Amino acid sequence: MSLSLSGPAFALPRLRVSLRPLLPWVVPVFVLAVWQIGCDQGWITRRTLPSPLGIAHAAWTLTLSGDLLRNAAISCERAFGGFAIGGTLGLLFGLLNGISPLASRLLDTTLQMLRNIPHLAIIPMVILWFGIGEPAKLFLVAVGVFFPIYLNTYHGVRLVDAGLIEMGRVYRLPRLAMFWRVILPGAMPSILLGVRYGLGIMWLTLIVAETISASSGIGYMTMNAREFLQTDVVLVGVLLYALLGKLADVMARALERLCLPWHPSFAGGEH
Amino acid sequence: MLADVMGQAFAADGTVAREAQAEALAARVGGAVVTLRGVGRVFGNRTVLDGFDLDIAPGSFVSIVGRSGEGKSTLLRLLAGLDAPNAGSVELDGRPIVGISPDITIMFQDARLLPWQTVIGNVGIARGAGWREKALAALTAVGLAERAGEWPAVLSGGQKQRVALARALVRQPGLLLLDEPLGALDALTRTDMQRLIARIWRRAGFTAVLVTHDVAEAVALSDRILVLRGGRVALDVPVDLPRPRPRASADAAALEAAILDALLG
Repeated sequence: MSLSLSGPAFALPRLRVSLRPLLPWVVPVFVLAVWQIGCDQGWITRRTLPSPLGIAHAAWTLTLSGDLLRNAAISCERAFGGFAIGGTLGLLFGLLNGISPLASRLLDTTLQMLRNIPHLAIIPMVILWFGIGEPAKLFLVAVGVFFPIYLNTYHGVRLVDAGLIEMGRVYRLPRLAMFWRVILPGAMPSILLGVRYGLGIMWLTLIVAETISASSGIGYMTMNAREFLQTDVVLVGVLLYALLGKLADVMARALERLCLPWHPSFAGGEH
Repeated sequence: MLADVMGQAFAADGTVAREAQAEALAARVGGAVVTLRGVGRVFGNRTVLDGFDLDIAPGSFVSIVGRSGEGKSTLLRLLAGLDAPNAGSVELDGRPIVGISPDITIMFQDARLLPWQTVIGNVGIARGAGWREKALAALTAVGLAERAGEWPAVLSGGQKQRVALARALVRQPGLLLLDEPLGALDALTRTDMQRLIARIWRRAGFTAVLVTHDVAEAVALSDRILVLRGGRVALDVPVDLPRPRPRASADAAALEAAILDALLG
């Protein structure tokens, strides 16, 4: 705000404009303040809900000891490792079944049947197969991520405008050019939608998997803290999941901007 | 951004070079001869074309007028090689049309531009050696060179069809098929597009077959008009009007009336 050049008559509206972006934060700050005061006054017991400052303190302590970063890194590794495996397979099967009617007839019904099994329901089997090691978590995340990406890729390819494909035929595009220039870009919005769904399922699956059986990771950290009634550490873990989830969403949006520069909803840059 | 760069390049060369490029693109060996003999096409138990004969002279502009479902589009799809006849033969320059020929191209009712390719990327869709220059020359011919780097989404309906026309021109076709390409445009844009198509056709010399509902459009553009009714030619008239054609002359009006009579039966 530059008050020096303009008179006081102009300074007031400028001030009002500059405060506007703060408006959405009024309620969260108010809630945090009440929460903090409630804890300080003893209305809320520490064991039920630690104070915001207490959580911040726990986060700081965990950061200094290196526990926070180490566990977050391990969780990210599992999450994105599983996502890479399940996502790649989902993409490949989606493209294959979308393009080849033969493959679709052969595989789609099977995949649709498997899709109806909640992937978290097979956790007991997964523990029997893989124990509680890394493969179990990678497997669960991969299975969870596979289906949204498979389905959206498959439908994306199937729903590519038939007029554009006919145009490609009229211009005698070779098969590969047809795939890279017409089919894949046409299916891309749908594929990226699948990626966003997949990222959500990725964190959900990992939280469950780490909470049930793990010796490291954010889920392990929170379950361990629960044993010792360290509610502040549990909440640090919860907040960390929220933060990582948000981070994944930001990445998905960045990917959309990168892959769909032609799309009218990204043309203006604002979303 | 890209358009700016190209705009500058042209500003440096001058418009003469640009025109020359467009002319070079237009100069072709001439139009293809189309011959149909006893062509039949049946969909299920519905006969759309039966024993259909047609000869189209090279470099001529033929319009096919008819009501919906009278076989106009079927005929066009047979010529394009997108569909095959149940009986008879469809030939281009004496050779049967089997599948999609590099010598034939089609402009659809909708522009069918790839939204994820820039304007120039759409025009040069088939790529190949020197495609940028060819595409730019074609865009110059339709007056859209300065929009080369933009996404199709920002163009108007008429501009999209002009891009589609440029894309067809890059192929330097012997036969250009027009499947009601102006149907969705407003009256003024239609007139502009008709003039553009007439000018490009005269310069490039390809054979053109236009399918349309619009009798006035057929009269404005063609050398010859066929009225299709019940899968047969109900009327086959030459159009001996001077070019470029003035709008709404008495001769044109008389011809339009005769064609409308034949259409209505």
